[in-house]
Amino acid sequence: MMSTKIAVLIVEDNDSDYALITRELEKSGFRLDAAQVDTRDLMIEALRLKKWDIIISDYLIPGFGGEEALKLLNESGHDIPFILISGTVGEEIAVNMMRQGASDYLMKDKLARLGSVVERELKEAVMRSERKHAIASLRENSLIMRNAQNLASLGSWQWDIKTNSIFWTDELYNIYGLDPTSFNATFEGYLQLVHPEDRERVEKYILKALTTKTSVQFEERIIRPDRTERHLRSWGAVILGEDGNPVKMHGACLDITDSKKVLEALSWSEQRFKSLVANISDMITLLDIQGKILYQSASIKNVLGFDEQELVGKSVWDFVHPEDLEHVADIFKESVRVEGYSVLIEFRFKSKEGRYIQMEAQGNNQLSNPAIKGVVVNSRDISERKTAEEELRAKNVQLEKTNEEIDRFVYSTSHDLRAPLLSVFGLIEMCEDFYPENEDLHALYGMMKASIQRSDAIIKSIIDYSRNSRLEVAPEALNLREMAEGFIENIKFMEQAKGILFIVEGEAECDFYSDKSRVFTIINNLLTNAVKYQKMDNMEKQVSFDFNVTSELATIRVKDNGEGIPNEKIDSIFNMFYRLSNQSEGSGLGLYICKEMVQRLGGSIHVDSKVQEGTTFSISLPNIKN
Amino acid sequence: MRTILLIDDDAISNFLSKSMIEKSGIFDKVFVYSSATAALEFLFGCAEKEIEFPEIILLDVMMPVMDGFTFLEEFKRLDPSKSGHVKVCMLTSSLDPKDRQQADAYPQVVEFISKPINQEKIKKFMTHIDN
Repeated sequence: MMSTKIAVLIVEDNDSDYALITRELEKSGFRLDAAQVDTRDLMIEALRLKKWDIIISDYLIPGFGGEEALKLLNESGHDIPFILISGTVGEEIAVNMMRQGASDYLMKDKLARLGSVVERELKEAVMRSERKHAIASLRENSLIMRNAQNLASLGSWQWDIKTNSIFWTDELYNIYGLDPTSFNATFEGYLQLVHPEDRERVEKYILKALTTKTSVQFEERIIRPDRTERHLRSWGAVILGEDGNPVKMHGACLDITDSKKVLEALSWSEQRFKSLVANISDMITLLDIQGKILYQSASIKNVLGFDEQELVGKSVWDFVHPEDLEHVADIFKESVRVEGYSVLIEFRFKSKEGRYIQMEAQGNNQLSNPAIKGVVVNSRDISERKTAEEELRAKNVQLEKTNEEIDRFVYSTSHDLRAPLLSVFGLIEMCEDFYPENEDLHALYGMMKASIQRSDAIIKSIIDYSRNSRLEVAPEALNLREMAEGFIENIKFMEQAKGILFIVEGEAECDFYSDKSRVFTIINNLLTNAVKYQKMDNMEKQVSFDFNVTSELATIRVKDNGEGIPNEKIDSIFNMFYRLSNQSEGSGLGLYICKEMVQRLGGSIHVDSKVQEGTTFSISLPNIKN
Repeated sequence: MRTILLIDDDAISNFLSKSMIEKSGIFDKVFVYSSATAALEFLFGCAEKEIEFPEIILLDVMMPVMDGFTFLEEFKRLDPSKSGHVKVCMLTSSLDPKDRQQADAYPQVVEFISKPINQEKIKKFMTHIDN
């Protein structure tokens, strides 16, 4: 006895017919949740409100009807069995209705069959619904498969050997960069796509699989239509026919180009590293705490002649020159003891030939590095460098000697030039003493002395110039105040300096380091000028020297209230052999040499001047402590 | 008696220096030697004969055979009890700063003066003697 509860919608205008139908269904054992509609609007409303299990409809209803009810059902999209009942409907109409989607039809006088018809239709509806789900999930699965194949670049294939036709999945077409129309889907067509160098091998594999009736796995390169190369890994399995002979082969291909590339890059960089380590003149050695060699780079072959593995396990101390042993061992102990301790040392190391090679090495304590656990030593052969250094030293010695010789030559020549000049000068002074009253003679003597002084000044300037261009800057601590005061002390007794007020002022917040002889010459030249170019009639002649020293630089100002320099000439005063006028006593080298020396010391010189008011020279010199 | 020793290979320079020193009137006697070796002989002679050493030596730097610095080295061989008080004044036309540095290393060198000598320079080095 069935007790299935069904929701049944009955499209019927006639209440007694409705009762007839429901009674028939209850009789068949259904428990009913039934509703009756007889208009289009009610039908629509009913379909919207409830999920019906079955619809039973009369064919002829005034203003409505079975045909229209079926149409509404179809429009609603529900898949509900629709059973048509009529007393009059003919065969033709019934077939037409069935074509439009009705499940079955019954004559009113055959209502006794209704129960079994409904039962059948309900079962079929369930089956239909299950099939629909199955198809939907099947569709979904194949979609997932396709995506998966896409993601993995995995394609599958099947080869029908008898017809020599090949089936490829979409993804396989993707891998090959082909579309189904441009592929000659035969075994020969496939082989054409394989890289020429791999073709023969692939063919052999497949033929072997066919003859041995086994499965096969291989890697091959293919060439796409755009000439790019892909690496594939392929599998194939043979399917045998009833007679035990191969009829089909199926399998899959995975695109491994990217991983292949990574591997290739890795192996290339490893090779490159190896060849680098082998070919450079630097050796890398890994030592344990005792100095035993744990690893040795292949470059030892080039440097010391040993093979890469030859020294592994041996102690470095057997190879270090006995005279260097203590020093090297001390440094090694220290670098083992103190992490991060690293110092460059030189020593001799025995080569395979037994010759001691001059080496340079630097250790790096990596004992606590779990990947290394040792002292990494970088070392190299420095014999050539040593020789070059030796040669350079010898050359320097030679150069210094030459320089010294030139120096001596310059001084002895200048001495020999000056000695007679100075004798004449002294003789003239004697003459002046002999004839103290003869003014004419005194005027002449004065001119002689001036000429001699000028010659002497030129000799001195040439020496200064020669020294400046030849000698290195040799910084030492200088006392600018003492230097200026010393000069003033010497000059103040001279005729020209009479009546001049000298002022020396300045501060030094630290020592000033520079080249003594150059600074001396600069100060002397500037102070000499300041004294020399005074106004004769000035009753308050003044020369001031002020300075300031910081850790960065020294600034010096030499200021006079003398004749001054005309504007149009101020740009020329630093030129070689430039003299302001024919009356100037100088050599025309003094300021030129000042500028050269200031530049040599890395400083700058600047002049401010006004005719009849005076001149100020400002210099700044870097403090070259180091 | 105040005496001074002049050592210079340049005859004119010697003539000048001698004249200037005499004119200053400080010294009673000026010994003049044109070579350092001759001057040394004279000094060793003084030591031997117990003659008093000159108070001051005016010494040229650049001279043939024996230069001023070699003379200073040789001078050390003299008995310090007799030569100890002698002051030396370098007199030169050399501009080489090394000469000055080298001279500074000898304690008996009190002055380094440039030629030609004059009354002011004499006064200057005499301050070292008289003080």
